[in-house]
Amino acid sequence: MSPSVELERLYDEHAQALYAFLLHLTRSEPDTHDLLQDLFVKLARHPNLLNDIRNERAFLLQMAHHAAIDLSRRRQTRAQHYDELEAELATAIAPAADPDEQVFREVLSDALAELPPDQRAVVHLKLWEGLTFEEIAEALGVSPNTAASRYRYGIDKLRERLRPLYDETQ
Amino acid sequence: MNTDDFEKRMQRLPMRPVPPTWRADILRAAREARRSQTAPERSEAVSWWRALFWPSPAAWAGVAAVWALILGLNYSASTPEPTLAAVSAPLASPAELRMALAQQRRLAIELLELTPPTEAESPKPSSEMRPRSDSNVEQVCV
Repeated sequence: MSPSVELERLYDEHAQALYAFLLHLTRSEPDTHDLLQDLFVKLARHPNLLNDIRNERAFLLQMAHHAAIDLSRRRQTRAQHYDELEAELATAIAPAADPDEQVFREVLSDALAELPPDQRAVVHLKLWEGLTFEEIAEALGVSPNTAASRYRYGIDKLRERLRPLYDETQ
Repeated sequence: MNTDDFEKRMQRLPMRPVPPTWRADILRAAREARRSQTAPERSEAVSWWRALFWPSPAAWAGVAAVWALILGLNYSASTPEPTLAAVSAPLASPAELRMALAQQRRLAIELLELTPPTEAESPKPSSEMRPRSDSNVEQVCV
């Protein structure tokens, strides 16, 4: 398989998952675009990067997580610029046609944004990528117990925040 | 609210799709990055050779032609010529070997423009060279 075709395959298989994960981490569509592009540029420059990798998706999510952390650290030195972007926070959750459901999703997006990034990353990988705690631990560079506890803390916060809406919509 | 139900409901929430225009942008950027990574190595090598040869290409061509001539002459000079020993066939018997040696000797003499020594000129043994027993016999006769 030629390198160009291989890149296309990687994009078609993993771009959606990477996009949602990065968007949940950065809350910014332009940043997500830049990070996703940087990731594929890195893959193009190092075609052997995925050799001997058992779980491509987990490895790419790990790369995306590292890139998002690097960006966040750079942004912390430019807090003013970051504050300007606060008003443009984006969410990875698709909008709904039903108004009640849309309210639920908006509140969920806000609640997710309020989670610490470490908990947000674990919640996303567990809920929307279906990774095990071992896989999440490997992707984020933490122990499985740490990943599990972060998930539990995050889910508890989301549940508390969404309880009124959840009970209404049931 | 059951935790499992809550998690299941969250899992069912659809994610926004990647904007369709991103695919072409990102893949183009990745391909360009790959090309720009390989292109500098090639252009550096080409520019090095160009910097070396560009100032006087005719002079370099002349030097290359002279070297080709020198190598050709050297090759032709080092080609071994057939020697007399190599030409002569292997001898089968001592008689043939003697004949061949005599022929070689004559040939060498001819080449050196010398005349072959005759039997008359061959040195005779002098009286001083006779055995001592012969001199004793003469003295007895006297």
